[in-house]
Amino acid sequence: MSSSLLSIEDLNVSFKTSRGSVKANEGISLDVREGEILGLIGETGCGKTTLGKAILRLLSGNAKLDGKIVYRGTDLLSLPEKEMRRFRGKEIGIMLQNPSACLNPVLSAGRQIAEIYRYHEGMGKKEAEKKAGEMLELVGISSFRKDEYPHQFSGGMLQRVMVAIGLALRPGLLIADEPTKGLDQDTKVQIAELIAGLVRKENTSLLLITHDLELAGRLADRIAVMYAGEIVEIGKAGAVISNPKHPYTLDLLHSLPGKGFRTVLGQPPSLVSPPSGCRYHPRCSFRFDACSRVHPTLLGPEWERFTRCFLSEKERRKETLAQPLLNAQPVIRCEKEEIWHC
Amino acid sequence: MWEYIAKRLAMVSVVIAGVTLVAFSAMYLAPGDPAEVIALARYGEDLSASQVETLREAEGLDAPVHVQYLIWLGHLLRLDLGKSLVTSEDVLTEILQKLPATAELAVASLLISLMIALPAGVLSALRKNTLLDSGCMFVSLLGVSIPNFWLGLLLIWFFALTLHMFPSFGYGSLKHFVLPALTLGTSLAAVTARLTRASLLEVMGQEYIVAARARGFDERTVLFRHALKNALLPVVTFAGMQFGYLLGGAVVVETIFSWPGIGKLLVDSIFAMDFSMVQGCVFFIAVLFSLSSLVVDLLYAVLDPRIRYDRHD
Amino acid sequence: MTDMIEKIEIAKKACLAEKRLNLGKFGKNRLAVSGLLLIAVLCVFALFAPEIAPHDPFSQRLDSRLLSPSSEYPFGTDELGRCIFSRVIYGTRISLGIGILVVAATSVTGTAIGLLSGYRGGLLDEAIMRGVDIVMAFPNIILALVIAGLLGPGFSSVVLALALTHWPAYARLVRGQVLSLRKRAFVEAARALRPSSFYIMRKHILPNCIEPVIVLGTLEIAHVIIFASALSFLGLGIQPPVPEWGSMLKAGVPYLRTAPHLTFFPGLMIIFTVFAFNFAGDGLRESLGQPANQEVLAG
Repeated sequence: MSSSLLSIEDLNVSFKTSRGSVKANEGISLDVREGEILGLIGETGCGKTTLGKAILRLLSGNAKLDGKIVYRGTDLLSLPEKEMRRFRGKEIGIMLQNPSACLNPVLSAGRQIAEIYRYHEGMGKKEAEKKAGEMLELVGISSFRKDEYPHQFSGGMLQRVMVAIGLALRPGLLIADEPTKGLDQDTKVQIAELIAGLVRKENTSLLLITHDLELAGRLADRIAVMYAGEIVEIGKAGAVISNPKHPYTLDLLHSLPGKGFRTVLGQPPSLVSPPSGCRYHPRCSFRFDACSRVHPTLLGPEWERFTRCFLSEKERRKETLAQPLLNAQPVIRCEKEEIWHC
Repeated sequence: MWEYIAKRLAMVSVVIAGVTLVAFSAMYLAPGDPAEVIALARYGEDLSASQVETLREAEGLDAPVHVQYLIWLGHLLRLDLGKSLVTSEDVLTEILQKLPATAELAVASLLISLMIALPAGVLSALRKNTLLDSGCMFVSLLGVSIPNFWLGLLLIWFFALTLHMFPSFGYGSLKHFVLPALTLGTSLAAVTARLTRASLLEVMGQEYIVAARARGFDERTVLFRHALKNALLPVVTFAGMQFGYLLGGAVVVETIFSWPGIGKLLVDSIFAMDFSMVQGCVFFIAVLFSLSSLVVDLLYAVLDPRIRYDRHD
Repeated sequence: MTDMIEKIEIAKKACLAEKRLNLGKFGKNRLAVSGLLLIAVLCVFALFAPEIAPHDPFSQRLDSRLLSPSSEYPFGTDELGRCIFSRVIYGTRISLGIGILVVAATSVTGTAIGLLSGYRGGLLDEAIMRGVDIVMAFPNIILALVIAGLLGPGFSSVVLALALTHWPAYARLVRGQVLSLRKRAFVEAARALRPSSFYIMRKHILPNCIEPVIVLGTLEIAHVIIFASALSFLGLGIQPPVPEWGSMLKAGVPYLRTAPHLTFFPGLMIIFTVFAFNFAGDGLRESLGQPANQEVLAG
C-alpha cells in the first residue's frame, strides 16, 4: 500500500463576501498517495479550484481556512508564511487555470522558467537559461522559442509552458487545474499524455482537477467527485466510472456524449446557503424524504470506496425516476466518519 | 511593430498639418482688422490711414486669407517662422533662445514628481485601505485640487518672502529652480501617484501574480520582478506625456516666477498683439507636444513586448 | 427562435443591469457625500450672495485699504478697500457660472460628436478623430490662452475659449463606449431582428454613455474653474472690478509680502470649490464601478 504524500483532513475554506460567507470547501478529507494520479472532478463553481489553491495557501485575503493539510508529515496550514514558501514550487508545483493569464506578459517564456532556477537553486543567468531551454524541450517546445513572449504562443503551447514551470523543480506533487480546458480535442489528448508521461517518469504525484470525466477516467488511478464544496464520492477510477455510487456521478457520466448526452438538470447550488440535508437532493433523481433533512456523511460500502449518499446498492441499480419512496428506510450506517488510512 | 510606428507617424503628420491651420488663424481671432491692430500696437494712438496701408502691404496682409496661409506655410517649411511684429527679431531664434529654460524646468519638475509619486503610489497600493493609503490619497486629492498658481504664490510667500531661503523670481542659479520646480512637480506628483496606485492595484489582482507566488517567490521578488514592470508601463507613458505638456504648458508658473521660457514668451506676445510671435509660439509648442507624444508611443512600443513582437502563432 | 429571444432578453438585462446607478454605494462613500454637501453650500453662496455678503463687492473705500481680517471685514480688504469676503462670495457666481456653462456646452457637443463618430465609423470617424487629435495637440491652456487673449477680456471670451478646447475628452469617452457597446448588443440584436435594432441600440447605448459623461462632467467643472481662474490670473480673462477669484489673486501679488490675505482667501475658495467637485466626481466614479485610472490630464 503506497503511503500518503498529501493528506487533507477535514478542510473547511470559506470566503467572507458582501453577500455572506461563501463555503467553498466543507469537510474535505482526501489524500494523494506517492506516485498516484488522483482525479478531482466537479462542475464549475463546486470549489475544486479553491481546494487546489488552498493546498498552497494561495487564496485571497478574505479566505478562512481550517483543518489540516499534511504534506510528508508537515501540516501546511500551521506554518508561518516564510516556511510555507519553501513548499511552493519546490515540493508542490501547481498549474493554475488559464495559462494566458498566468504568465507575465512582459517577460519571455524562457526567462520565467529560468528565474525559478535562479531563485531557488541560485543558478547563474546563463546556466538557468540553458536549463530553461531543456525544460521547454522536455515539454515539447523548441528551445529556440525561449525568448518569445507569452502572447506569441498558442493555447496548447502555453499549457506546455505551464507544465514546464510546474515541474521545473521536480516537486513531489503537481496540482493541475483544468489543464485541458479550452483546447481542441487533439491538443487535449497531447497535453494529457504529456503530463501523465512526465509525472509517471519522475514518480511525481498528480492532483488532476478537471470537469472532464473522460480525461480523468483515462489518466487517473483514483477519482474523487466534488459537489457544492464537498467530496461526494471517492474510489478507484475504473470502479467510479463503471459503477458510480453517487447519483451526481451517475448524472455526470450520463452527460457524456458517449453515454447518453443527457444534461444534468437544474443549477449548481449557492455556496452561501447550500440546500439543506444532502446538497444534491434538489437535482437528484433518486431522492427520498430523508435526503432533504439529514446531511449524509462520507461512508464506505466497500474498501477504498466512499460515497456521500443514503441509497443502498439495490435502490440505485433500479434507476427509477424520482418517486418519494414512502416506506423506504434511509440507510444510515453510522454517525461517525470512518477514517480510511491504512 | 513597424506597422505601429508607421501608423503613428502618419497620424502625427496629419495632426501637425492641422495644427498649422489653427496656429495661423490665431491672427484672425482678434476682433478687427489685423493690420489696424498691429499698426496701433506699433505706432500708438496717433494713427494715419496711410500708415495702416503701408503696413498692410509690407506684411502681406492685403492678399486673400488662404494665400496668406499658403505663404506662411511656405515659410514654415523652410523653417522660417517670420519676424516679431514688435521687435522685428526672428521668431524662431527667439523661441529657441527661450527653449532651454523651459526644458530645464520641465525636467526638474518631472524628476521631483517621480521621486514623490512613485514611492507614494506603490506604498499606497501595497498598504491598501490603511491609514497610509488614505492619507496619501487625500494628500494627492489636495494636490490635484490646488491650482498651481496659488501653490506657487504660497511657496513664494513662505520660502522666499518669509524665510528668504529661495529667490522668488528669475533664472540663473540652482536656487532659482527650486520653487518653480516644486510648484510644478508637486501638482504633477499628485496625479502620477494616483495613477501609480491604480495601476499597481490592477496588476496585483492579476492571475500571474498569484502564479508568481505559486512558484515560491517572496513578496519582494514578486513585486519588483513581476508587478512593477507591468504596473509602471502606463505610468511611464503618462510621465512622458506630462513632460511634453510641460514644455509648452507651464505658462502660469513661468509667469509667476518670471521664468524666461516659451510660455512666458507666448503670454507676453499675446498682450503685445504680436501675431507673428503668437503664431510661431503656438505652432512650435504644438509640434513639441505632438513629437513628445510620438516619442512616448515609440517608447511604449519598445517596452511592451506585446507591441514589439506581433502575434504569429 | 425561442432561444434567440432568450438571448436578446439576456442582452437587454445585462445592459439594464449596468444602467443602475449605485446610489446605495454612493451614499456610503463619505467623501462623495461631503463633496455633494460642499457643492450645495457653494450653490447657496451663489444664489444668495446679496444676503450673505456683508458689503457691496464693488464699493471701494480708499481709507480702508489692505486691512487685515477683522469682525467687520472677515477676509480683510483689498488694495481698493473692497471687502474681500463679499467679493469672494460673489465670485462664486462667476466661477460656478463659467463651470456649469462650459461643462454643459462641452458635454453635450462632445457627446454628440462622440456618438456620431463611434456610431457611423468609417471616414467620418477618422476625420472627427483627427480633429480631436488636432485640438488635443495643443496643451489645453495654450489654446485657451490664445483664444481668450486675442478675443479680449470678458466673461464670454473665457467661456468660448474653454468650451472650444474642452470638448474632445467627452468625444473620445463616448466614442469608446459606443464602440465597445456596439460589439456586444449589436451582435445579438442584429442576428435576431432586422436593422431596426438601431433603435434598441440607441435605447441601450445612450443610457450607458450618460453615466461616464456625468462623472467626467463633474470632474471637469473643477478643471474648468481652475482654468478660468488661471486665465484671469494671467490677465486674459475676467478683469477687475468683477470679483473673480483668479483676478483677485493677481491683484494681490504685489502685496504678497505685506498683505498676503489678498491672495490667500480667494485661493482657498478655489481649492474649496475644486475639492467639492473632485470629491463628488470621485464618489460618482466609484459608485459606478469605474476603474480609477481614467484620469483627466492635469492642467
